Amino acid sequence: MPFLRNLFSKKKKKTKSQPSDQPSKIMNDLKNVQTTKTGQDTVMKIKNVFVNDSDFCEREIEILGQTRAVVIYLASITDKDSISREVLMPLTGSSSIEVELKKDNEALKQHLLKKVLYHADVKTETKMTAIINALLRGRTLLIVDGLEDVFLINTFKSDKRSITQPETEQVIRGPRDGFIEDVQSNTALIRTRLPIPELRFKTMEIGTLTKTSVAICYIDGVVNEALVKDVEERLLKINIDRILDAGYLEQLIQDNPRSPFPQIRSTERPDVVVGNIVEGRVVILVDGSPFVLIVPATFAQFYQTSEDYNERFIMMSIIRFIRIVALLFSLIMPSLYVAILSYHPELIPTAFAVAITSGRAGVPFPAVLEVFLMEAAMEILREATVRMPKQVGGALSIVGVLVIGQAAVEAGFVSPITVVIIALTTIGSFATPAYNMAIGFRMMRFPLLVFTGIFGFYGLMLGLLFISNHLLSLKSFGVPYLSPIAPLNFGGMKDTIIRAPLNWLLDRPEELHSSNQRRINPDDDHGSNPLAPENANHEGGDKK
Amino acid sequence: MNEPRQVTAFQSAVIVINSTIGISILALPRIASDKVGAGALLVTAFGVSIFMFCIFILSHLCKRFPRESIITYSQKIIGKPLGKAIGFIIICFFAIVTSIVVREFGFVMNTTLMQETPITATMLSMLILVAVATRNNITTISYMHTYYFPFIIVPIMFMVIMATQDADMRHLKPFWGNDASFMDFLEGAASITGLPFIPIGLYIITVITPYMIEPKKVVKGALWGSIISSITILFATGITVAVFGSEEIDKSLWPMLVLTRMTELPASILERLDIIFLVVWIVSAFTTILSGYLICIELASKLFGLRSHRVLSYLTIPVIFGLSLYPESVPHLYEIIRLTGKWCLIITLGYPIVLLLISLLRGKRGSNDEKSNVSDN
Repeated sequence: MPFLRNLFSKKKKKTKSQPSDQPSKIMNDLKNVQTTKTGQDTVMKIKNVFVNDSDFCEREIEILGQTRAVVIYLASITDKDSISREVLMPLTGSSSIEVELKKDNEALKQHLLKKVLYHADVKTETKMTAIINALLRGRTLLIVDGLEDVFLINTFKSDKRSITQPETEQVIRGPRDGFIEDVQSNTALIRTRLPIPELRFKTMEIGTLTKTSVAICYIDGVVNEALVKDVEERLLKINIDRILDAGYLEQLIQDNPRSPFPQIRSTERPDVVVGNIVEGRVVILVDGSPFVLIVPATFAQFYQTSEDYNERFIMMSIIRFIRIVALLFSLIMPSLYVAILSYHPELIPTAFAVAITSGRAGVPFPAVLEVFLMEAAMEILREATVRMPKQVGGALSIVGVLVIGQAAVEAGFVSPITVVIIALTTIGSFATPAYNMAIGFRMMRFPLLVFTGIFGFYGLMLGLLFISNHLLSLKSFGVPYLSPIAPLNFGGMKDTIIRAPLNWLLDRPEELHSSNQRRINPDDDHGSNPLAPENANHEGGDKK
Repeated sequence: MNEPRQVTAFQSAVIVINSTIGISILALPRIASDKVGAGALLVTAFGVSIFMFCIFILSHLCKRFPRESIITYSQKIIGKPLGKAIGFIIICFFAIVTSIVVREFGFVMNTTLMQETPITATMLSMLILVAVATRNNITTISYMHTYYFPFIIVPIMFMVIMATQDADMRHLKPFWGNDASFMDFLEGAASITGLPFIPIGLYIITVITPYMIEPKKVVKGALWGSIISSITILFATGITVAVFGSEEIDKSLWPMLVLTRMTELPASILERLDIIFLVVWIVSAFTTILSGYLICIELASKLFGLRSHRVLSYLTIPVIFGLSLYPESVPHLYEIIRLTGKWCLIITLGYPIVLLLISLLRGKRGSNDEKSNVSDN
């Protein structure tokens, strides 16, 4: 993989950013059309756009006793209750006719805006495209006869699920709320955890057809300005018709698309997101996806969990270490087994070597093939269980246990030790908290197995060197992927393989080049604002 | 896009250590005790002090021209045609030296790990690995060195500590060697500095200096690097001689490999450790060959005025591979090593001294603030 990557790295494709953000013909036709004072005319224009659309609703009313007006909305994405109570009721209810308003259009508009429509989110607009867009976004249109401006009242409502515990990143101790598909709710989850004025949300629309709203979130004064700029630039460069999940965005903005390893972290947990924003990272929220992207990501983040910080540091450091071992197991265990068994059986103690050989007595294949077959079977089993309905899952696991475990051994198809090795590998890969990293490592063990099959120990080393060279060359938004291990940064090691006590972790990760390196100043009084300018000059304590 | 200059003094030290400690160390005790017998340790100490002196000279030269490659500033110092000609000779020399290391690595792998695999397969796969690694920029390559550093130095130290129980101090005596004359010592020291890893560990600093954050620190970094690698080499050689004695050492091609075979873990967790140590030699061979290869292509790209060393990454494979096929057998290989070692001092010590003296006399000095023409993307 790195070979191919490097071979083609010169020809970096750059997505051209096209200025036309209006791909639809209708919108192009309406580009420069303005509304007119004749309400009927405006209504007809909008009706022509939504011809044959059963979702389109239109209701004629009379406001202030005598002026004709039309209310237009899309039934599926608006709250009828809210339209009735907050739009129709005040408009039709106030019967006090003030005669002079009839003559003066501006006064009528101001009266409606300031005295009648008490809804919190009301705008006026005269551009036809903007009006259509607003209608499609769930706003209710109020077109008043004799008024050029169209009132846009936000009555958007969509069904969303309630906030539940994330399925992918479960914790034993820690907050139980997770992000949902609605970007507004996700924003709220972050905002409630960070009630500071420096928290910024920048919103943009990506996808010519889906017009997915994407929000960049960071803390001003903590984040590196260049990073925010980089993220924004990459997002603006995207030219695609659809963004259906944060995963689309991840692939479009990552540094090296050909790498098997994820270079952007995604999470469903608000506490993880807030922890990372506070460290000086930028997060990207995508409407319609419960996954939030965190950039830049380093390798170490993918085996860390939010729980590491919730429990006592000695225990969590040990557990973190176990996770690293598990990750390594999932990569090299089968190859190591093959290398020892087929090439260097003299490496292991004699008694054990004899046991292994007697176990393999009836197996017809060489060790490589045996391991390869078992690995393939295991991957098929795993892939089958992922999408299996829960009711069938039990049956499948019985099949898995019996066929893969027992029957294969009894049939002389594989040796018992191979089964143990494969089981260790699979369990090891499940111990990695980040699914995308686990899958990267799991798939890498197949080429490693081929290398080992050809060259033995040397092949294993060769493959490992290939993989680690590739990891070393990776960068995520300018941050070396393996930092703080390479380039070495002792300050960062406090929270990489071990997790030091919280009161030791006084610095933000150095590789992020945060504009405010120090998390807090220990000499300060409690409660002082760490972002205040007099505290912003403290350099990181662990500069090389 | 100009490559960010991000190599620190620490990284430069690590690069020197990693480039120096290579596969040739396996044979070093034999070469050291060849002439002087039990004086091997002293000869090695002699050799590494010459190495440190070379590092001192060359790093001072690099410090004078912090933003330029040796190819560029040698042309300023001694004139264009001569500088280019000597630059070409240096590149050829390093192509030969790198191919020697590749061949030596192939021999070691073939005799220990894979008796039946053709040596070409071993060498070619290693060369491809190295070539792919050199597709990265110098900063990333320095990250690689930092990353592999503990994998090299820790096991060697472990081996030294484990072997102390078998060491017999009498083997190291007499300290001055058995009936060795002063000339023998000089010759032995020269043959040690002629081992391929010394010039590689030396000239790699000319490659990395232009990419350092503070090129002034190259002297400090390189000296620390040479001191640590010298200590490691001394320890490893000393312990090998102490365990086997000079008589025994002469019988084996790679005495240090035999030493790892003797090393045992308590409670026999693993039956043999030498294969685990071969893993270390693979890593250290990789870092040494990487450095040698990088010197070749970086200097060549500067000589031919190419944009970046990456252009040559894959093109150099056949050259080095072809050269590495030349030695016919292991003795022939060591004969070639001896021959190149004789000429090596001219390049490692003579040329830098001449350059430094002339630049001092002519008052030539590279400007530090000057936007370097070193670009890499």
